Amino acid sequence: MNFQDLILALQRYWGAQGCAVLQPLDVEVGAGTFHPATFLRSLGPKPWRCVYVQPCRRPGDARYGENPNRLGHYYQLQVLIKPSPENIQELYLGSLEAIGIDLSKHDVRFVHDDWESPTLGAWGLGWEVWLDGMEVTQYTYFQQCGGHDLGPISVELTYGLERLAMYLQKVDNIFDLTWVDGISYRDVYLENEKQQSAYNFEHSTVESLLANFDFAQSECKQLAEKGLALPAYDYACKASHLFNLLDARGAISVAERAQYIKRIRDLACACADAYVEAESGTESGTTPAQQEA
Amino acid sequence: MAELLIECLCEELPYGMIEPALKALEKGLRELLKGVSIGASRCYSTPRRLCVVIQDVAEGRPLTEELVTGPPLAAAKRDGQWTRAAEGFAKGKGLTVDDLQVVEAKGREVIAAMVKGGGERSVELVAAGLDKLVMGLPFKKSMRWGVGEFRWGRPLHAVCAIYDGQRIETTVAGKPTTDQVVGHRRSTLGSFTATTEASYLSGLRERWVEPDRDKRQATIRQQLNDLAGTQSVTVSWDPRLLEEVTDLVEWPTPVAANFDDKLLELPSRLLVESMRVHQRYFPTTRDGALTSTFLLVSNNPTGDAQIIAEGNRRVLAARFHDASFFLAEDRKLSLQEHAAGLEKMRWVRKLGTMADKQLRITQLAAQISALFGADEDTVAAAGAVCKADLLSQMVGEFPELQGHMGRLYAEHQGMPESQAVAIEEHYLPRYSGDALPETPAGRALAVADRLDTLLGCFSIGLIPKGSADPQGLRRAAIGTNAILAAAGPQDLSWKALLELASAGRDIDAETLGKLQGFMQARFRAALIAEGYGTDLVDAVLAAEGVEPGPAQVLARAKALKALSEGGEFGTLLQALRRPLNIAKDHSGSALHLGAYALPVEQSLAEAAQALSEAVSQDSPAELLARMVALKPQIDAYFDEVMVMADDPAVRAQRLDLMRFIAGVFLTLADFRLISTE
Repeated sequence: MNFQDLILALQRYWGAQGCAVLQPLDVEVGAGTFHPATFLRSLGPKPWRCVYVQPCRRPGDARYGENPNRLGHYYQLQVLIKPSPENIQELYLGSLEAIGIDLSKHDVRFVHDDWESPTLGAWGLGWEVWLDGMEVTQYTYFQQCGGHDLGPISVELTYGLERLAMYLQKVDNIFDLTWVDGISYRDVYLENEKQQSAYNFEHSTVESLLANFDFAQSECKQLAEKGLALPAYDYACKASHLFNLLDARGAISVAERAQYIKRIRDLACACADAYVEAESGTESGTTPAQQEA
Repeated sequence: MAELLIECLCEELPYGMIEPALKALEKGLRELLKGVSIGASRCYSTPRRLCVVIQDVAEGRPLTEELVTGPPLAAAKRDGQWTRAAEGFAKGKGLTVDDLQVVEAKGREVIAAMVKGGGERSVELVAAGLDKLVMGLPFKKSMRWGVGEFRWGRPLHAVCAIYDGQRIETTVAGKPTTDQVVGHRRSTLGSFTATTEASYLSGLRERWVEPDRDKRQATIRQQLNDLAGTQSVTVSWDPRLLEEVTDLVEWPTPVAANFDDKLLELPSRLLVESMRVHQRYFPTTRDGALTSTFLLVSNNPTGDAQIIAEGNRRVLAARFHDASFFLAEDRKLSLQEHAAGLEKMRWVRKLGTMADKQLRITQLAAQISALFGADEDTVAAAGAVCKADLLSQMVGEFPELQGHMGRLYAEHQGMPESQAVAIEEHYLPRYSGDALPETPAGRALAVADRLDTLLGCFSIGLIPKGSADPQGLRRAAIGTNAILAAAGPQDLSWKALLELASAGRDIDAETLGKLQGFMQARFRAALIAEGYGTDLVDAVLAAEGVEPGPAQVLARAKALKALSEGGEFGTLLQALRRPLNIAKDHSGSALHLGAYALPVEQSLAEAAQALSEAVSQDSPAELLARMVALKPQIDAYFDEVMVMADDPAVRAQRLDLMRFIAGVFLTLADFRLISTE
């Protein structure tokens, strides 16, 4: 199964389960959880189901395209369903069959792995799902997000697409993956990995990144205060990515790290507060911005 | 006599959460049936189920009859008529006045009623209490799911509740109980009706579930030993891992796999930890040496062993591929060259880079190397690169290998073994109770690293408050104390240590005093955690005339603890406290040998002099033995001598002696603080 068929098959499968097939967030993020379709939609009482691919940027993990297992830019396929269905484990196993994994031959295990995102003020309990010893999915019941206790509870399934594809295609190097006949992952992304690595580790301008971080923080705050949770949240994501760039550049000391993470968490929590408030506002027919006007 | 069977079916519970919940379920069921005659209970569990069976459960609580007495007859009946009091008493027992009788109690007539009780049916007791019991099972960390109205260890799917072959009609978590049991996810047999323990077990086993945990574990042990035998290797068992793996599978199915032999050149600690901790594999050995064969326990009875082995091999290969790449890359540079990069690594704001820290560690280690009898050249050479491996790619990827890689790289580049070991040991102890450094240079560097952290952070006001301790200062203090108590000079005080270590640093006396108090407080807590009584530790720390230090505080605490575990400790203490009690407000302290009026005074004064001379030479245990030996003399003294004599000169002379003795005792401990309970 080539890379794009893997994505299409998973989207089709979850689409058939009633999930909205969404597109990626157009802001740089480190994980699919950052997409507002997960982070913000898991808040509040409204039911929700979606599936989308999210490109993830992890500047510190970039390796100039020299490491066969590691990328600074890769894909996650994310499913979020609220409330979590009773048969979600069976549905999940069904998705593996949908991508051609014969469950009668493989060893699938749910191995305890609780999830916590200090930058999002979020945590959940669940497992990493092992397929013959390889972690192919992070499976989490969200308990808290942006500092808010959740209810109803969302279940989040995050598939590591490259890893899953490597397993299906039996290749030992990410860049050897077949994207579609005649086009490899190397053709699509190797040059990007090289150039982005050079940027991440050698050529980013620390002073500008720091200034941009401060700007993203203040913009997020002022928007959240006005109840504009969605644009505010874009800036929270930007702040998080800028922090990752600074971290990759070695510009943040061990002692400073915790403070930066707290600054981002405060932003995420402010967005969550504004979102929850707006959600309860829309039920009465007005948005907070309108109320203010 | 009937059987009770309760099974909770849920999503995969984490290892470690199963056992406590299962025990609580068993205990809770037995409590629900309190008063009912019940037999033995048995517990079954898999990652997806908790099951308790209780045998020989009687139908219900036995009927009881009890004669309950009430008000005196005089108040219960007037003019041949039952009074309100009598009616109330009867009503309160669910009876009428017709059921009342008159009996004699304590010499007078009172009314009484025969009250019948018991008879509650077992099935009803369980039905009434099951929801509360199951939903209240203890989990280290619990969660909500779905609409979020319930909380459990993992989502709870169904509760099968059977009494005497029949479903117990009740609800748990808003759902009716069931009599259906499902098997392994791969089983195609569908669910079955459980009626008895025997049918439960056989039904599950047909469906690839071994619910008996001990049996499952024994099977794993047997299977892996057999499989290892066919590969001519020996399983490298790890009891904790075996426990965990037992709780990861319902139907253990062993698989053997191999990684590339070339990867065996990687540090074995890395190989073994990756296999055990990250992948839950069992490594194997041949003639004591690690082999490239590893064993795993799959949960799929129909699985294709070749496919599963290949998948798992690839996971390890990917993991190890990185490691071997890092090893080759790291070895291209010497540790000294790696260390150059420490200048770019910030440590703590205002305290410079890691290169600065490493330099300070080396200097500090030189200042204190004599305390451990460490060779100065070894300390200097190891210190100069002790943090260098932080720049290696291997440690970047596997932080748990810090220090270990430094040692391996030092060995690889031909540094002497004593230096290589010191590099690794300077990280010890990593946590309280961890191994301590064993070489003098390792001790000097380990203490220097920790003291540098403590002095640096305290000097810029980074002092832990509450539970927050981002720089790990508590751990640093605990580690320093542990090394000094075990291998530092006996008479080294915290004060002297800090004076020695802070020479040439910008830190004021007040801050040093705070740091000393901080270190002392950690040592106090550590001793108490080790089982020394709080009173005893405080008594030792309240000693006077001697600067406290870890080794001697430990020795004094040990000596006192040993004494306290013998007999007569209470009376001994009373004798040892007397001099201080009587002279605590007296300012003089002197011996007036030859000037005493009574022989008993003179002899006690002579003994006190001998004791005071022993203070600087004897070990605390020997000193304490000498003090204990004084008891008869002290007792005799107080029998014969009136300390508070009328003559002020005599009184002062006597108080001088008492204060002198008290002063010597106080160098060991303040005996007044020790509880005699």
